[in-house]
Amino acid sequence: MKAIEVNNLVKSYGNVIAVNNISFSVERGSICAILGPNGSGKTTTIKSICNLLIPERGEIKLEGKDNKIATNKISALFEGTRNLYWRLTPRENLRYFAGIRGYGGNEIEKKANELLDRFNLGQKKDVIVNNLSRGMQQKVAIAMTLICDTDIVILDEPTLGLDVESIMEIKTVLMDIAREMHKTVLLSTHDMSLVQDVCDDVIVLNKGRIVAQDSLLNLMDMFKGMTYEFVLLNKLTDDKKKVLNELEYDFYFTREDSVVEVDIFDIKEIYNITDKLLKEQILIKEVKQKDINFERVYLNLINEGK
Amino acid sequence: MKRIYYLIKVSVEKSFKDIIRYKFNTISDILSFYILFIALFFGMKFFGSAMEVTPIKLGETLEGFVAGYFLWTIMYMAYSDTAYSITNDANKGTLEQISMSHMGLHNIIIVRSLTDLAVNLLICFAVLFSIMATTNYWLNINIFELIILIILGIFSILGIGLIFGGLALIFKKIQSLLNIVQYFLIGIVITGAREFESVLTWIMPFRAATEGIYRITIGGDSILNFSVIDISKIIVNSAVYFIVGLFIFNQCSLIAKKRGLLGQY
Repeated sequence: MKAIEVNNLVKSYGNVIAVNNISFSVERGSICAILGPNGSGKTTTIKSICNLLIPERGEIKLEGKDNKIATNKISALFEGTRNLYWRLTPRENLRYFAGIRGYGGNEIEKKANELLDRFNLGQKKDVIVNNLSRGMQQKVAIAMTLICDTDIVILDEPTLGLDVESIMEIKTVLMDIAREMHKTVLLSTHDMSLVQDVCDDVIVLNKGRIVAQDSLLNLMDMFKGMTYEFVLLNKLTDDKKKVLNELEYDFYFTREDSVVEVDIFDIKEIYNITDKLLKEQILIKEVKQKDINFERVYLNLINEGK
Repeated sequence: MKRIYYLIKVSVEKSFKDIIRYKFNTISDILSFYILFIALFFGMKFFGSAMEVTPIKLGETLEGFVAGYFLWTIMYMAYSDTAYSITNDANKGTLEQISMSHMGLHNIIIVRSLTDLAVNLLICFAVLFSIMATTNYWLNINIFELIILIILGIFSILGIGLIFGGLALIFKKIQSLLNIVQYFLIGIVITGAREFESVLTWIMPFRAATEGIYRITIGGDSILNFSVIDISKIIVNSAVYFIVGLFIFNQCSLIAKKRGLLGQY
């Protein structure tokens, strides 16, 4: 049985179709990323799964049950909102959000302490949330999604606005949630390093449709070895950059103006590119194959969708 | 049953914590209720004497005014706790979390409003005793009987709070309307006991309970002398408003979910 099954989901706002007949599933115990540019339908999909939005069409199942009756199977953290009461302490917040779901007593008290200790918040459990750092607040919010021991945890932009150190901590927390606590995690993010470091599967949405749905490794393999770095003899002027942009290849300009990267789908295209660069009097010093990162994979998927 | 117990427990805890942690707000609320009363009371007394009219246009007696003001305070708190609960949580970014509970958004709002009311009642009684001490108009305060009537009747006000809370889910910025409604509540207490036609006491929210409370506080009566009809009136009035409020709130919640408005503010 899949943890999340979404079948033929359709949702529109007036004339704008936010999600257009999408279907996907998420394996139990996996970390799955749902990605896409702004307005691609990620939040609509997530809110539909959480039963905060009623779609026009489609079926959503959580652990095999209709999502409208399986609300005790899921908890979530939403982007752009605090998700917590800032005048309560982390422990009080966890107790409150467990209480409004009908859980309490010593078991919850113990669990709240365990979670806060696990997320290195043991020293801060009685400090008012408003006085905690942004990273700590985010960790408390994630702990809050775990207090009721739901099978599925949805995290919408869990690293948004966090510093590097906090992002590293959140990555560890996410790995713990899936690997040690055996939860299914569906996360939406624009942070591709997070996806590359923690996710098992990826769903890419664009304009309300799924443009890719596979394991992270398969998607990385699909584009592996296809990025080439051209080290140039001279720095590129703005005019030369303009010329390159007009060619049929997608050139990525790096911080040094003397290096450009390009994704190709056939090795022979290197010769074409070399010819074209020479024709434009852009002299090449070296051509290197580059390890691809997920950010590039994502951009390719989105561009293919276009 | 245990689930409801935990919901009530955390709601009570949060109500108390809110009062303590937002102390400036709590103190200014109490002071404003007290100062507004004193201003109105002495204003009425002064102009009433000067113009040789009974200063009881707002109530049958000055005692009536004290009792009326006390009831309005309770109604105002019950109404605003319910109606503003939605907008407050939307502002705080916690509405989605509450909406995801399988206990149901309306149940959480109702329990929270009742626990807030219980905590606020303590404040209201404290303000009432301060007012009586200041004005030297002492009412017949049988706290136990008053609380019974308030609890029986207050569900009508919760119903009204739910209606406007539901509208806030859809229309968001309805503060002006929410504010206006609280002043309409004055209409319910503005006249003293038995001044309304019997039919109006059946129809107006909380009016039947208000009449009962006037009978105890001003008339020195006891709830034990109330007829079955008197009590039924309070319960039916309360139940009808509450059920209608609940229905409208749930419909609004459904519309907000369909339009994708839940949580956005």
